[in-house]
Amino acid sequence: MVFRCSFNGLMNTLKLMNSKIIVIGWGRMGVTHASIINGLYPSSFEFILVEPDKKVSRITQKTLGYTVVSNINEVNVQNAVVLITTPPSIHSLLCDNVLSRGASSVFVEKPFGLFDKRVSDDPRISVGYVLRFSEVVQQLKSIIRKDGCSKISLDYSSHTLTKPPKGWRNTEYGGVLNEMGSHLIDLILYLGGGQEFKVLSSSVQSVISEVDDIVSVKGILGDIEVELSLNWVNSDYRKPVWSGYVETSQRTVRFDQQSIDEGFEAAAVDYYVRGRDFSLQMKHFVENDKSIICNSKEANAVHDVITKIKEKA
Amino acid sequence: MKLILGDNQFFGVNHADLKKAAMTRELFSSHEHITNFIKRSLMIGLDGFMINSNDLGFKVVEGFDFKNETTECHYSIPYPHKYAGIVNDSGMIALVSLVFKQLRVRDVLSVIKFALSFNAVHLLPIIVRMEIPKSLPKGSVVYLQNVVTDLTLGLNNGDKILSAYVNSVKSMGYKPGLISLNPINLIEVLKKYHLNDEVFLCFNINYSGFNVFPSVTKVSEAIVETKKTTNWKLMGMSIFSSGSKGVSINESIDYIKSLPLDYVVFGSSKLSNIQKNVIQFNE
Repeated sequence: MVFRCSFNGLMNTLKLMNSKIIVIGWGRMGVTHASIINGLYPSSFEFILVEPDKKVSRITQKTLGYTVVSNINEVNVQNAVVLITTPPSIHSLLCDNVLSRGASSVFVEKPFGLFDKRVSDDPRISVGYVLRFSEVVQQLKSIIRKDGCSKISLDYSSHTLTKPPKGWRNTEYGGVLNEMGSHLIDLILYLGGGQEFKVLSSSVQSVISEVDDIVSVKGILGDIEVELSLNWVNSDYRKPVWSGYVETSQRTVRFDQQSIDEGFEAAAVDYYVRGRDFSLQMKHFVENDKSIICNSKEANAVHDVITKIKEKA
Repeated sequence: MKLILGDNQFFGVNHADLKKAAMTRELFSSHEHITNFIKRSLMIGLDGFMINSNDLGFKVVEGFDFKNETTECHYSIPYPHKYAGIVNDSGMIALVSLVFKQLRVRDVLSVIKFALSFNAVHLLPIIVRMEIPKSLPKGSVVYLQNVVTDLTLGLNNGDKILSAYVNSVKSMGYKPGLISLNPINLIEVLKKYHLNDEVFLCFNINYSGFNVFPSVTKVSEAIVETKKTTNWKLMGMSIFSSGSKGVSINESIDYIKSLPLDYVVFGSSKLSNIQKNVIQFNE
């Protein structure tokens, strides 16, 4: 299985022990990643947080005891591991800053920058397309490797939006296609082996937000037929669900985020917060294991597909 | 070993089968449906029920007739999606604003302490009080949901925050509980501050090892050791591996019965299944 603990991983972790982890943006994802890393590698890293909001910064400092600064320039990032969990509009600026100042590796939450203000490719960057780490996806990848693939169909349904979102989420940078579709598009590209995606048809509908709430796409990835449907205003759902099927030369394999026709063996993780996939993602990032984690080139390719879908609608 | 009715079936949660989850959710669309199901489960022989502080769960407890003093209510807080939504929409500081909107006179001291120190631990008693219905009988167990426990556990000073939670719940006349998917880490932390307190720990344990972290062997060893050295009450959850294939109900129950647990929590949308499990646990 892909999730085994490698000797190289262990060596990489040992090298990193006592090094600095800088978390930029102390929101939901910043807190989650910091908790997982400290849970996986107790007391192994010095954490420094960068949070411009003075109230959040002070409460965090006094409650959790972390060192918190308001600006990345106040921190020496040389050889540091950096997590960027800010709004996407400043991803590019922050990546340039920390990489030019010698950060050893950078993890950026998705969506990766903005489609019109891209982050430059760099091998030191990893991106938070976490679904790759689900056992279901790894099982699908292994089936496709063995039997090939003629069709991928993915569906995302949720009742996430009950009122118009605030801020950037209600602009062209938000919408179900950017926020959730990007995850599924990354999956399609990952499963299809990074071939070029051509959009044959697409439709985009606004229901609650001022941008896209329901999206439907048909396309071709190399010689694989692709269907994608996204709906985050579906009141039939309490929790978000992604599901679909893959057609191989041998059979049709149905799956959702928790199950796949043939079953799978759940991965063991040493510390669990929001899902095994989140723990595995951080383990791979910290141990510099590039076997699954999304790189900057692949994450930028997701933007290209989103742009094509919008152009075709 | 006491048997407690779980609440996953009421709220459409199934960790292995999303279709089953959606179907069972439809059966429990109102708090009246849920209350009736709980009452019938108690008549079958369950010792109590666990329920979350989401809108429906809160209403169930508000309206529940607790005249039968042997019925145990195990209440879990908070409803994580509510807070995650607030943080997503308006940022972290919106959480503090939410607390301030619901202040009462008796909260003044906590607010002063927070204003002077900026330590959010002082707001914990207010947050806990906000989540608990007045009708919840004193002596009931109030658990911190696993996503919050585990998130906190991994952070710097997480041990102090969890300890403050335990103290807040105790000071309100309830029994403190913590749900965690990292029971070994949690046990280590709680031993520092609450070795002699009656604390309830609820965690995954099952025969197949489904979502048991870091492993069944380590968790089962920790159960034995903890029962020997503490006054804590231990509750097993996800005992049927969320219905995962390959393990029978008999194997699951036999395994759980071999452990020195004080409680198990399990659910089903079918009373007949609950009855079968009760019989087998009592055999």
